[in-house]
Amino acid sequence: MLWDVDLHQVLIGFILCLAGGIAAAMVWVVVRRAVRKRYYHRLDLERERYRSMVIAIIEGRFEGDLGSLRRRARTVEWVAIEILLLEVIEQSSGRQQGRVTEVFEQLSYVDFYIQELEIEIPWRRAMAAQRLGRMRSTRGIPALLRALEDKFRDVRQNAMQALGQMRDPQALDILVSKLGEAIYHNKNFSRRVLMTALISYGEIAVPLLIRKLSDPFDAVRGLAAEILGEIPNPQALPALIKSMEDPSPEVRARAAYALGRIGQPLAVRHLIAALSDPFWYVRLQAARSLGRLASPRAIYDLWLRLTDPHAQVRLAAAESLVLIGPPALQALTSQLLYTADHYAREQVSEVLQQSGLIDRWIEDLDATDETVVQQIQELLVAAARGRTLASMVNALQGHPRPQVRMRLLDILGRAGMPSALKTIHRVALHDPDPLIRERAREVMLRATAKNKVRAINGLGNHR
Amino acid sequence: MAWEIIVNSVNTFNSVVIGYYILVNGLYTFLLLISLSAAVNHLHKVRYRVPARSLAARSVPPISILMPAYNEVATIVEAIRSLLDLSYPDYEIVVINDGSTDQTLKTLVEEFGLTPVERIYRRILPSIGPVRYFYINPQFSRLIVVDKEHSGKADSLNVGINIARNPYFCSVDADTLLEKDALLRLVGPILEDPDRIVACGGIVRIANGCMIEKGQVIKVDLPKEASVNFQVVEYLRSFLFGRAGWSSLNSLLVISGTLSMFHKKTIQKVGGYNNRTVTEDMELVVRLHRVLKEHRQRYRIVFINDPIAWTVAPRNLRMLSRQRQRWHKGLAGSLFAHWRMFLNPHYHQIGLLAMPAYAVIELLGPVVELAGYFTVGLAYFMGILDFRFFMLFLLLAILYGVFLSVGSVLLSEITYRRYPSLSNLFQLVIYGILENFGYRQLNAWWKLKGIWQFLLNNHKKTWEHLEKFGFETIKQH
Repeated sequence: MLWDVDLHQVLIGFILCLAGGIAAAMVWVVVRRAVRKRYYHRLDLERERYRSMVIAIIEGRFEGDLGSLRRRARTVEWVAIEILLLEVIEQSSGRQQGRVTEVFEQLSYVDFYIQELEIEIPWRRAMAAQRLGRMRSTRGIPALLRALEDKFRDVRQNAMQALGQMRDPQALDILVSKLGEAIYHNKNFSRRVLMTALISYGEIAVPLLIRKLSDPFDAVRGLAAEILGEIPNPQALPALIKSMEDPSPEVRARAAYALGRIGQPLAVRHLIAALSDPFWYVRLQAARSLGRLASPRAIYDLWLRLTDPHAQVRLAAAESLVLIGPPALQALTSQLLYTADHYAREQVSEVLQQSGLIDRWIEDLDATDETVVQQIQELLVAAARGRTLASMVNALQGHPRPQVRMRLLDILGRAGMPSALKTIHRVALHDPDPLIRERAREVMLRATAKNKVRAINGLGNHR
Repeated sequence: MAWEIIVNSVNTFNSVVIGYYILVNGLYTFLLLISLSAAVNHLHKVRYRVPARSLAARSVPPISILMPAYNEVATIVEAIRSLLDLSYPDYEIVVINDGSTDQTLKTLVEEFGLTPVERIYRRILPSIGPVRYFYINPQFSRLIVVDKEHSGKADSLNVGINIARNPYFCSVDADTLLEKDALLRLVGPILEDPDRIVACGGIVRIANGCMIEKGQVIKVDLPKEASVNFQVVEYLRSFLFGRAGWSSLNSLLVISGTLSMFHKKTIQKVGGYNNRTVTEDMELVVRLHRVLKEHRQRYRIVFINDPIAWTVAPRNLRMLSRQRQRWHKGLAGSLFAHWRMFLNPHYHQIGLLAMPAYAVIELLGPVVELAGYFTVGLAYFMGILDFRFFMLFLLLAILYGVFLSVGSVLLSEITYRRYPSLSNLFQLVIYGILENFGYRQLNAWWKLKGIWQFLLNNHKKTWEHLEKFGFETIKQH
């Protein structure tokens, strides 16, 4: 059938349509760009025109009738005033914020968006929910609560976010009851949005969340504990301590995290107990929280965790010890010097490097007290064996005091790490001090043949 | 008798070609419509969505950026500067030097004042190339450079995944610049749906012709060379309506390796990048679909219309030809490696729709097209050219191509008006029309060569050896 049509005409027709279509589209693009440009230009002008007026209204200096500012919805002026008011409300708080909300209500922006929430077009509903949240008018709450059951996910999420921004107690109950839904039906809305909404409630949400800590579902209890950690409030302390004995490790880990955030010394004993939990992520969170609490009581148990079978726990324990400060450093340095576990040594030295301690030791290398220098030398050799060479290698090449460079050379020579040998080789060639060059050559000679080959190979690639 | 057989077979073949084009054009139109609706949705979403920044800044997941590099001395410093400058709260940059034979490593060491250190390398994913040294500088605490022996891009990426410390990683090419908030935008879908999204890709645009300063594109413009402009149109087409359309159907088979984010645990579960294919990015996504479908896991692989990375396109035809051959060979390899998924209802929309569509349209398209040109020529010389067939072929193959190219340029106008001047847009439309007369045929020829190489089983794993000329030279345009 297709074969019988006069294809000649079809072809010409198609070419004409295509050419016409392209021409029309180009005209449309040109017109669209021009229209937009004009619109935004006008919007800028209107904003400048109304700016002083809006500020006067907020500060209560406005003389005329507020109703005179009411404009037909969606006109340029209406949009300009809305943008100005939203700018003000975002930067203000307390009474001034309340004043802006009142103005929004009086100029019927709130009513407009409440109506928009009933409209068929989903993106306009989502937009309305977002705007109602930013305007913070309690009049919008019933409509937003209805919008929580909307067919469209973005509308539900924006409504949730909006309710969080308003911090209205009547919506809180409903939001907390959605915890389970956020986990088990995450198609409905994302857990993160619910969390953000509840976190923005702050203290008011704490009692309800505490009640959720005894929910029958593990994941709900865990999420409640996590949110409680983000709203650090001492009220939750007893409940969270009780959660440290929860049968689910997820809940225990999050409770440990929350206890660290709340920062009450009462929790230290329970966190120390959690350091020997069979699940590594509970131990991890407990170790981190103990670092945050910086309690010297935890030093011994954290020190034991430096040889934990799980790498992240070891690292967290070392970091926490650094946070606890001077009394814990002894635990760290003794671990650095005497451990046979090279993984643990590495982690300790990495943490010491990050905390800046190794740099301080290097600076102290030319101290007058001979015993101090010896101790530091021992520590630095151990740190170098723990593969934390960056500061030492840097100082070896660029430290202004030759005494420090000389001692570093000995330290690195004793540690015998091949990657340091590369630098020592360079020092042997380029150091300004002839004595140091000489010593570098000696160190190179003492290095084992295998290491030298590796170093030279590395150097060849390096060049 | 023999003559009749030849005439009949030529005619039959012609009908097949026409049928093929009707099918393909139908599918393209379908994709164009889906992308159009996705683009419109996206435009609305930009206006009302909850911005990532406001979603509790500490709750954005930390990201590791992996940048494998092999002889990238011309662009790598600029690219790393652009990465160091990203606005994102928590990320690390892992640069993997795949045993470069040029000055790449030396330049990095000098530019960023790096010092070699030894660290423990845990081989969670299998990797072949031995790791030599790690280079760090405490001043650039986000940056780690890893030096390893040469073993190919996929293997370098696996090494990078083993080193990465964060739950998500983002692979970036060394000749790529990221927009300042690219990571924030890329992470957007993950924030909305962290349990299901395992991979996320974004738009890649061509940096040739643009003004670049301090690792950022500051003025967008079109390049002078026609061959690059054709590629600009091609990129727009493939990203804006190809991928956006497939993504809406959750059937995305390609996420450009130039800018893509993955969930690390999931990638470890499926075994990381495959070192035996030439386009490891595509193969990984196909395997991801396969394994996750087999595990009956609910997942989504998405493409978003806005994160923008800028990359350098090859400027001369020889390089372009090599790139296209490699891509097509990789496409053939990826599809062939997972042939079991074809028309297999077990893999739902991937097996029933995406794989066959990619095979028939993307893979075999150039074969059918060139065969069509050949038979038209043959029939003409034999004096049996059916004029109606010729016109129908012209209509379906060429003119419809013009429609699609111009359509994608216009789609880019309504989604992201990144070409600020009208003259750029007119130029692009004209290139979109011209593309179908010459460039497209050339492209089909290169792709055919790619298939031929695949059939010859030429599995040499190579890096894409573009002629490196760096961003600096682009700036002078």
